[in-house]
Amino acid sequence: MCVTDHDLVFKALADGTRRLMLDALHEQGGQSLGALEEIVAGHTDMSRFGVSKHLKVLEAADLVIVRKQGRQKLHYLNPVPIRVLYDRWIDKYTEPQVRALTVLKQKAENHHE
Amino acid sequence: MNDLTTQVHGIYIDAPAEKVWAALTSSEYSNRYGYGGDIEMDLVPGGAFRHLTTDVMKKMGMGDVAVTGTVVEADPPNKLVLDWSAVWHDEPPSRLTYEIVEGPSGLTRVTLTHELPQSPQTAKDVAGNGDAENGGGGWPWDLSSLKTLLETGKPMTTAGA
Repeated sequence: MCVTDHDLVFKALADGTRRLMLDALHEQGGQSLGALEEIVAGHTDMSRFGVSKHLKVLEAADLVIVRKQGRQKLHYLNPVPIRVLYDRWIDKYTEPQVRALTVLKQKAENHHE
Repeated sequence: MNDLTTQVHGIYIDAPAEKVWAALTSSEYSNRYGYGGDIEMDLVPGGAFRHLTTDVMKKMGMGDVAVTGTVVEADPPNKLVLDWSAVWHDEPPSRLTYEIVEGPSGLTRVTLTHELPQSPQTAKDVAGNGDAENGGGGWPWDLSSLKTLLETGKPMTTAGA
């Protein structure tokens, strides 16, 4: 897989259960599959298989990184692909406005001096 | 309360592992991504590490050094472990581990693990709050800008000294 493929990130984020899982890992990093199942079960009626399938999608998009600790597999949120997506893709549209505001801010501040 | 005591940040970079290693350990690259500033690193266990401040940081009132540390393990170009302290917080050193693995396709996987069980303020800063224009980008933004520099040869708009 290649992370420059933003499609994987957008697809992974386009699902409520997967966003719920990311929120859970944001709140508490290093959770096991079992712990994530419990969290999902509190919100939806989903099988263990379903949760594990959603985790695979998140891993493929590099939004979740698995670390082995003893015999347990712990899951961590990886915020970097979202940052990369922002810097490469969203920034393209916001940059001219941000630039203009920065220049305006500098001018206003210099005026005060 | 978000748990930030162990942070895992991963990125794929289309560059050889040696180049990634050089970017993480030398001033040749360090002024063109992230927060900028020279790097001084004695790449042996117990060796000293200093990330120096940029002119912008000095204007903000910082001294000559932004980050101090000690090299715990240096295995070029695959593994670098540091005891890492942000000078702007009075907190115990945290453990920073870079794992760098070049895949068969030439893409290099960089995984940064930052363990900060006793450094909550530092943990909050390095996690990033999204406001990169004002220095709040943290590791996600730092790594994103490293990727841009190594893949395009040019610094990212918001990054560098």
